[in-house]
Amino acid sequence: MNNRDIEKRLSRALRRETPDVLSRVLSAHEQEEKIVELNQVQPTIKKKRRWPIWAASAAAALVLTAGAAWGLTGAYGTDSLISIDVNPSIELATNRYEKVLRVTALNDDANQILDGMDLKGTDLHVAINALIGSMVKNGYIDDIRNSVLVSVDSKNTSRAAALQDELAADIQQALESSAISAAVLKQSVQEDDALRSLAEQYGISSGKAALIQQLSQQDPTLNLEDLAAMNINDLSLLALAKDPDLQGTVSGTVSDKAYIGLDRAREIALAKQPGGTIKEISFDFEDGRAVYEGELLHNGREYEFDIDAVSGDILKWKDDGPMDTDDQPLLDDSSYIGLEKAKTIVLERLPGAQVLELKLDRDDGRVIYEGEMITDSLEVDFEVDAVSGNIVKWDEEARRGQVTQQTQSPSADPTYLSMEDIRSIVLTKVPGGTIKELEFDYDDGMAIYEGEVLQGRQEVDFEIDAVTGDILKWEVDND
Amino acid sequence: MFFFCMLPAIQNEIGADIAPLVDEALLPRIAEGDRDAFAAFYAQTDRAVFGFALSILKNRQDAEDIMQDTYIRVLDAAASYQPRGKPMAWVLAITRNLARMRLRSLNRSQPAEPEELEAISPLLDGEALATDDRLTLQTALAVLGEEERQIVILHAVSGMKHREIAQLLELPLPTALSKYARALAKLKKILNGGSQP
Repeated sequence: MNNRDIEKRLSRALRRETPDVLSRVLSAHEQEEKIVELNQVQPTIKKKRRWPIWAASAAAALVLTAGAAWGLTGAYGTDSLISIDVNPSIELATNRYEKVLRVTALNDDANQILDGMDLKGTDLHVAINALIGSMVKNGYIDDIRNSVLVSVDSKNTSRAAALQDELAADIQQALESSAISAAVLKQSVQEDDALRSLAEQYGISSGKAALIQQLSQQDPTLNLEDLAAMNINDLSLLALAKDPDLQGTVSGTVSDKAYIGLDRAREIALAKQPGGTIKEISFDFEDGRAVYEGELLHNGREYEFDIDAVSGDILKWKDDGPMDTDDQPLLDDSSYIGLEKAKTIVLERLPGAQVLELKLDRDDGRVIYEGEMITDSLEVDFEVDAVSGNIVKWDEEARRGQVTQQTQSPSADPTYLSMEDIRSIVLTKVPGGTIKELEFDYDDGMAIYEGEVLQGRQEVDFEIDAVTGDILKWEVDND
Repeated sequence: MFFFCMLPAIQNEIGADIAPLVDEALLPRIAEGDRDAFAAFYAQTDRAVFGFALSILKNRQDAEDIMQDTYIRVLDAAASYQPRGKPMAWVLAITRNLARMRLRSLNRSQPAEPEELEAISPLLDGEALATDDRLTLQTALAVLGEEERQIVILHAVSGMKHREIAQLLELPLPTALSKYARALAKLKKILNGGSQP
């Protein structure tokens, strides 16, 4: 019995065993849609007792609105998609009468929030009130984490902007009654395929996806996966640190009570180097950890530091060397090779990379261009001697969470393995071997790669199935 | 053109051991609510979806639930499908995510252990199921490692190439290939030798 026989047997066994769920799927799906319609006529609130206040107001609102929504054109069409993110992520679809058509829990936390609530058919504002109340009750919003992201996706942009403001007001009001002063981050989102797939990849709302996409565009060293895992409070702090202009889209003040705060971080840095001056300090995330990073000047030297935002521990304290008080020459690079030349030098070393940062600086008395560049898979910190143009530092690091780029198949047909794939198969078999020849060929109509690899002193002729990667021939040539 | 028209006929002739081609053009039609398109897509993918779910979860009932959830998700998500020539990989990625979520919620990082083989056996009781086929599936589920199972079953029923399978399972290609080879060697040894280790 060969591989193919075994696979045939498995395939036949599974064909017989695969259940037929087609009709169940279709009726389950239909049911989902019917529920939406039904609820507009006869809204029901389940488990009333668990939601005394919100449920009662929701029920009252429904009595008033149920009749109105029924029978009007446009009642079933989705007008706006609204997502509310705290850590629970919930998406609401509404019609143009602001009735909730569908509520979707996008993560486990959201399931907990929605448990027992049936908001279909309710007024949007009532629904938001109920959701926010439940989030407070379940401990997702408090003084420490007081931020809520509201994203509105609507074809009508002026409508989207108005809705955002209304909802922000609703949320602040709801939280006020729990004595929490909320911060609401508002945004309009136009969902497209890229955003949708980003959202699906990480199981987050398209609103949160839009926010992290924006953040990672602003600072490409931020990792999407880390960002996706962060709660809205942290994301808001980070977004505001990266782009202070965003303050305009936030109602209220984002709480940093979970962290030691900028003032305390300043104190810690100054305690380490008494008499110093803080040149800059800001909130950031390094490797998923919240930090305050900054620069301090003391006695003509410059120090770079990172302080853990939770514990206040100094994670990094780097002496960047003397900083001449009369360091005018640094601003004028005419005596040096120049920014453009420095850029050319590093790009020669790593073609196609994107230079994110490049500046003239001093390091231990030597004038250098220091900077950072990235490719899809690498992050490089470099320093170029500003006089000689020599690269004096080159630290390559793999970018975490990045999908390694797919190698292109030499043949246009994607069903074939690429040359690179074949190389790795051969080199797995002959570690350290040298591939002398490798070419794509057809052998009796079968696509193969054939080649030669040097194994020590021996030459091996091989053929590999271009589809399965099976080694078809492996012959040691003893000549 | 002519060649493509011929394909379905050839498949019928050879029998059921060739995974059907999945027609990508069905997805936009599904998104528009075309039931026939959905039924066709279902018929082209059901075995792979169920087999893959079973290979992850090792439990018939769980696999059937995940299969159902997968297709409900397909109905919802067809509109966001981006045509890249990989509809099978797309639907199986949905299955993978749902099955992994199920595993997590079952609070076990590992699927059922061999002692739960009993629970799988009922699925193999069908009288019509030829003994050899039944034995092979049962053995594969029982003796192969988690990734080995997934790779072998996917290769047998999805029509995907090793490279696509490696991508779906987030494994480096050489790893997927060597696991595949090892798994089949294991199965051959047992099935030809007639004894379980």
